[in-house]
Amino acid sequence: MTIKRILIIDDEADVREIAKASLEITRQWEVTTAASGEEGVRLASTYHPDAILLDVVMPKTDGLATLQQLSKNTDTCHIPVILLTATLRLATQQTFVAAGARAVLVKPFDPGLLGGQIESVLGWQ
Amino acid sequence: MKLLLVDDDDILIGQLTSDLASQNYVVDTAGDGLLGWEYATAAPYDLIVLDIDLPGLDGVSLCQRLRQTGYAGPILLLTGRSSSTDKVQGLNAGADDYLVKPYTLGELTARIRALLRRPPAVCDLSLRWGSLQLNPNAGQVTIADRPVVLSPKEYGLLELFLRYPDRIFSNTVLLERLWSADEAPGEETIRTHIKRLRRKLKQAGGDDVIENVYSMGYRLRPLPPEMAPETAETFESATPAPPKGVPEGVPEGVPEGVINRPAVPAPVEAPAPILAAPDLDRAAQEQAARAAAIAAFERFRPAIDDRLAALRQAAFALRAGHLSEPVQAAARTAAHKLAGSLGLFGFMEGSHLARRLEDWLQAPNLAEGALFVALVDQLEQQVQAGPSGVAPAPASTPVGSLSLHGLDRASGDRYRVLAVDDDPAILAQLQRLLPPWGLNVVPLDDPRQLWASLEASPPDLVLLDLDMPHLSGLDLCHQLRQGDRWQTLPVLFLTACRDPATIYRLYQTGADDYLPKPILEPELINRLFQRLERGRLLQTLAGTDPTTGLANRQKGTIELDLLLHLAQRYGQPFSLVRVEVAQPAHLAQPLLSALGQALVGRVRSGDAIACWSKSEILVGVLDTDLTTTQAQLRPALESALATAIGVRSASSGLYLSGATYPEDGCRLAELYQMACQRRGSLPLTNPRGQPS
Repeated sequence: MTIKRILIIDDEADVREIAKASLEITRQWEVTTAASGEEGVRLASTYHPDAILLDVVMPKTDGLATLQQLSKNTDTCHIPVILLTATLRLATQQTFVAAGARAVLVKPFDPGLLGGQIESVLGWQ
Repeated sequence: MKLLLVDDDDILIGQLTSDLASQNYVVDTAGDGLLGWEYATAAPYDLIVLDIDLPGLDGVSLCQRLRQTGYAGPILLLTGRSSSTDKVQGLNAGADDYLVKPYTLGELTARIRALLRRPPAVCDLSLRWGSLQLNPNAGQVTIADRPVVLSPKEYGLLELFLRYPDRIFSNTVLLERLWSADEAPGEETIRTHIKRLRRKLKQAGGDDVIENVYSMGYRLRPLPPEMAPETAETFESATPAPPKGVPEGVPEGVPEGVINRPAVPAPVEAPAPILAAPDLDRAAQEQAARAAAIAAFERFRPAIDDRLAALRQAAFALRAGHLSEPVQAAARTAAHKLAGSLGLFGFMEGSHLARRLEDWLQAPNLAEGALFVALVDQLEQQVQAGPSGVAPAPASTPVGSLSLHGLDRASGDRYRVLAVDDDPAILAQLQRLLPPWGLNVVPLDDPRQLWASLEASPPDLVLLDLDMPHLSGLDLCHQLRQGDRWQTLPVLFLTACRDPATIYRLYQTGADDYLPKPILEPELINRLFQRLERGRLLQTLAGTDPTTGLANRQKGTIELDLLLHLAQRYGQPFSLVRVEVAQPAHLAQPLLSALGQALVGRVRSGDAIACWSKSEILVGVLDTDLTTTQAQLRPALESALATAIGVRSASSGLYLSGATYPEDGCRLAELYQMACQRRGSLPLTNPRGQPS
């Protein structure tokens, strides 16, 4: 099993840390976190993650704006992005996918199953 | 626990043997591969440790041979080679784990313990149900050893059910587990796949593996006793007890029953060593991740308290009668964040509450301020109580957003709730709580009177207590579901019982939902409305308009289309008549009902009549022209109008118009449009308003 590198971009420290711990404990993946869209975009181009978990609602650069910046940059446009959202509305979730997100996961996620969900939506199984 | 060590390193064998013996393991040792093979075939071992470089027969070949002859216990390989090709080769030969020299004794024993903690099913990967067998390695399903060809989705469904035999899977969970987010199929898709899977298994001679659980979803059907021979027993006896000295059990606060693993829940160690032991059972890792999240709760408490404070501020503002825009916006953000995060710490109910608050704040209805305040109080109490054991499990499953219902309902449109409870205090509480929400309570303290009460005033919903003298709630529910008449009547249980087996029985008996006592008002109101409105929805799907008793628009469209189709096929005329009541809603409704009844007596059995909207009725008549049709219907309408109460003005506000196939169009929509355009051309007037 190869060790995946994951970048988590979320302004909420609790979500960030729990997602990180979850992926480290259940999958032994390497996880780096960013607390804002700007920091996330910067990190993505140097850290070269295998996937990015991106929060939707963030101050300043929100998830969709971050997603746009990531897809404009040739260093990061190929990295699959999974949006994390607390909204249950399917229509909203579909707009995220239309905007280029590979998948949408709903918060709160189960810390025990997050890794499996990522694998499943990205076809890593 | 009996172990076999096959290694030619005497020093290592000596150390390991004494170390393991001190932990109460029984250890046999063999110095070469062939001797190891002899030992392994002569006696049953719970685990075998093999060195790869062995004289006689090398470790990988021995491992392969053991697996071929059916040894199902765990095998741990030891080696000085660390290349990944070697590891892959060893694991492919059937080893469960791999340790590269040099290693510490502590690490080796830790891995042995971890392997022994796995339920034996992990070693034998095949999943079985009677004669049905699913081999995840080969991706193959067989019934009585004959292969069954399944599509990937059918295979996925079957595997899921077999892996989690005790778990009920809702459509939502199945969608989430087996379909990717961008496929987003409907629930109908799941039904289709389940149906196909059942059919294929049946065709292959298998029994029905999948069981529908009323109103909840699907699960693996429990094996009939004659088909479940010794599996359960061997499972128990073969499951190794944790050796002494190993931390046992699950850390406090770890949600239990989150994933109903088939076997004993794997013991969990503190998160730190787990990071260093990637071979730990996956279930244990999942539990550890949840435990780590719960453990982090206190650290993030300040941030959560800030968010709660924003909600409390909004609650204060509401009490004071002024919710300003910034306070509302801050509260909405806080609710959104809480909805997304509380569940991470095991507060699944907290996430639900926060989501409802967020919904409320999207479009605040100040008349419902009390509900908002009550929800905030409830949320605070939950967080105060600390992380619960509530499963965050199907956690990321969308839970369906709950909107706040109730006060927007027209005052005349009240629901009737029959409450059966022998406790007068509960009945009094319900009589106090429900009427302000437009819910009339019919209290009943003697369950034996249920039938009489149902007949006297048919309710929209029944609330049942579980434990009552003479007849239990389960008995009543069972009886209700026996006949056709009360099949779809929503039944909710009120109970202080939290025992999963009892709750499961409630659902099995036909209950739609249950509410824990003590009663929390917001919870009660929301659940009641969820059920009541679902009942309305079912009525809609059944095709009847509740006000007029006529076919509703959905069913009417089908019937009218059918007539039009017949007209086209046989070259006959078809007339569509539209009756419109231009009155305020409270007058239109009774008038529309009266007109509906009058028209039903006038149309032939093959004609169609439907309540099209709150103010329109459509009638479709085959083989009759429009003028004739209208002339036939007009007397019925006029007499209904004359007897209708409350329409006494000179202008009745009643309009009759229509259109004909083929003159006015070939499609129903065209005919309807034409009828609408002609509105006003034939105003009916109240006969009493006309000069005689």
